[in-house]
This record gives sequence, structure tokens and C-alpha cells, in this order.
Amino acid sequence: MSAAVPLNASRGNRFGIGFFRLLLHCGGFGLAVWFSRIVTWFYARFDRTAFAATAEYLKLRFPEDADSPRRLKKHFHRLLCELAKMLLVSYRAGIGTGLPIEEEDRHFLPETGGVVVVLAHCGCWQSSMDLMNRSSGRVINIMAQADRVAGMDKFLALKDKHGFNVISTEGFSGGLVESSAALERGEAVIIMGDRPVPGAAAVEVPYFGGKLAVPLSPWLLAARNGVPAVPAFTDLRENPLRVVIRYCRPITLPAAQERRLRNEELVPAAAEYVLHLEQFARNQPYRVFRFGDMPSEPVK
Amino acid sequence: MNEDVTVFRRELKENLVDWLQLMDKTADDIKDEEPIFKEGLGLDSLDAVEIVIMMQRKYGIPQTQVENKREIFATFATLADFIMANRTK
Repeated sequence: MSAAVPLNASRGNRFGIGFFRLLLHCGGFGLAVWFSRIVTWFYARFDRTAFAATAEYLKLRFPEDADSPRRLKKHFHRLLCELAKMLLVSYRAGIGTGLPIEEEDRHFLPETGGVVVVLAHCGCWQSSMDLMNRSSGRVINIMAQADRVAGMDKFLALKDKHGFNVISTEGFSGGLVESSAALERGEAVIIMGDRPVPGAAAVEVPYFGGKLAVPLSPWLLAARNGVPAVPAFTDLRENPLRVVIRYCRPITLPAAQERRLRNEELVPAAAEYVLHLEQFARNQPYRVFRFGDMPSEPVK
Repeated sequence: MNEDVTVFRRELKENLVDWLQLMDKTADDIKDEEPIFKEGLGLDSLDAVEIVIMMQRKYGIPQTQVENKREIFATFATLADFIMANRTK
């Protein structure tokens, strides 16, 4: 499996960000998105590292084009265009001019008590924090890597404005003890379910005919605290332009035991979750932003 | 070390082996001053959750009482002392 590539740490610069801010303020969202297509074309053409980081996913998602670098590059450009659009949406949310946010299948999220919300690096996931904080009526915690990545720094800077707590994944328990305590208090804990932090317990499950490494922690935390684990996906919809956060039916968890849950007992929950990820990728193939060590070799 | 402490530590070691399903270890393999995680007993972050759940269910210690207190988990002895001082059942 290839090493993770922190793409957003090394892409973009102060001038570029400033330029797009100006464009958003003066020309609006549409113009900024249009211009981002030109910028992303250059990345698609010349950024070999970024292409390598996404190629494994694109090959699995578009197997008919896996042997054609030219067609893969086209998919790559569309992916970058969507990424730029999502970053612009997130930036707007950060400065308080975000798009309207709607919820779908909200009934899957319990009204009270602890809950693990399992997000993925799909769509405009950062924008969902704002909604969850406003609408859930409970304290929101997000597990996040303390920062080696510039993009995460910018995201975490929003936490005071948007009122969510950050539980660092550093330390002996990777933030799991703090997350478990938050669930006991009846709070919500948001975990990115599509990528394990380095060193965390993970499992590889089938994904588009390949394998995807995902963390076990969301399922363990939910099972051990007797709370639901609810997958959630954010997406951008048009006419009118808005962010939609869609909750899924809670994942089936292993029963409580008076002993440690074995990792293999958590695998079915992880596999069930990855089916949701696959479904999202089928519907929105260019809005899947889990780069780097995506899938590995096909399952035998 | 008084007898109560010795007896409790023995009981806790047996509970840990049993709860964490440490198949290749016995209570005798857990040394008092040995780190619990990584280089010591070799436990991981999922085991950390299991330990706090065990503390809650077997000894009545709420999870909120141990969050942000990483010093409790430094060695088996620090963990045992904390549980002994705070247990409600």
C-alpha cells in the first residue's frame, strides 16, 4: 500500500487563496468556480504527485479507463474541479456566507443521548459541522489529528466560531478515552470513518473490487457505549445551490460483552459502512477526496 | 505494600487478562511498574477504551472521571492505585 500524501499541505499558496477570496467577494461563487477550472487544469496537467495519489481510486472507480492515462487524467481533472468547488463552499461557510444547509433522513439521528456520527472525506464535509452544531442540540466533538496538515489547521480555526470541540488523536489512546467519555455524557462524536490515523487500529475491507483501510474506532466506541453509529454524507446540490447532509440508517453493532470486543467482531460494521462509501462514490465519483493510500491490491 | 493493595492488584491483573482476552499472558506476567501501553503490555488504543469500560462496569468509575488523565495509565501500579481510591463497587 502506498504512503499517504498530504496533498493539501503542499498545494495552494497565500497569493492563490487571497485571489480566490477576492474573486468570491467581487465576482461571486459562480465566477470563482469557473476560474478554478482553469487553475485545476494546470494541476491536472502537471501535478504528478497529486495524480499518483488519486490514481488508485480512479482506476478502481473507472476500471474501463484503468489502462488509459489520458482518460484517467480527465477523471483527475474533474475530481480536482469538484475539490476546488467544495473548498470554495467550505470557505464561504467559514466566513459566514455559507450556502443553505438541509438535512435528509434526520430521523436516523437520535434526538438525545450519545451518538457517533461517521463522516467521510466526501462532498463538502466541513460544512456539515455548522449544521450539526445548530440542529443537534447536543455538544459536538470531532476527532482530528493534531496538525501536520495546513488544511486541517484552517478547518480547526473554525471551531470557536462554529462551536464544536476538537478531540486530538495524539496520545496513548488516540483520543478514544476522551471520545468515550463524551459519549457517556450524551454528546455526539464525529469520526472520519474512511481513513484511519497513523498507528490506529484499522481493518481492510472490500471496496470496488480492491481493499480500503478504515478505522475500527467508530464501531468500538458506539458498541461499548451502547449508542448508535450513524454514517453521514454531505453533498452539494443545485437548483437552488445548497449543502445537503444525508444521514444513513445506524450501522449494526456487535452486542455488549463482559470482555474485549475482538477486532474481527467489528469488521462487519466497517464493511457495512464501506458499502455506503461505495454508494456515494457511484453517485458522485468526483466528490471522493480520500487521497493517498486509497485502495490496495484487488481482493483475492 | 499492605495486604489489601496486594490482593486488589492481583484481582485487577486477573480481571485485565480476562477482560482484554490476553491469551498469551497471565496475571503473573503483568509487572506493577511496567507501562500498560505499547512497549509494556503492548496494548493499543482500542484496549484503552476497553479498560475504561471495565473500570465503569466492574468498579463503578465513570468514564468522565478518567478522561484527560493520562497519568493514570502510565503503569499498572498507577492504574491500580487510581481504581482502588475511586471505586464505588
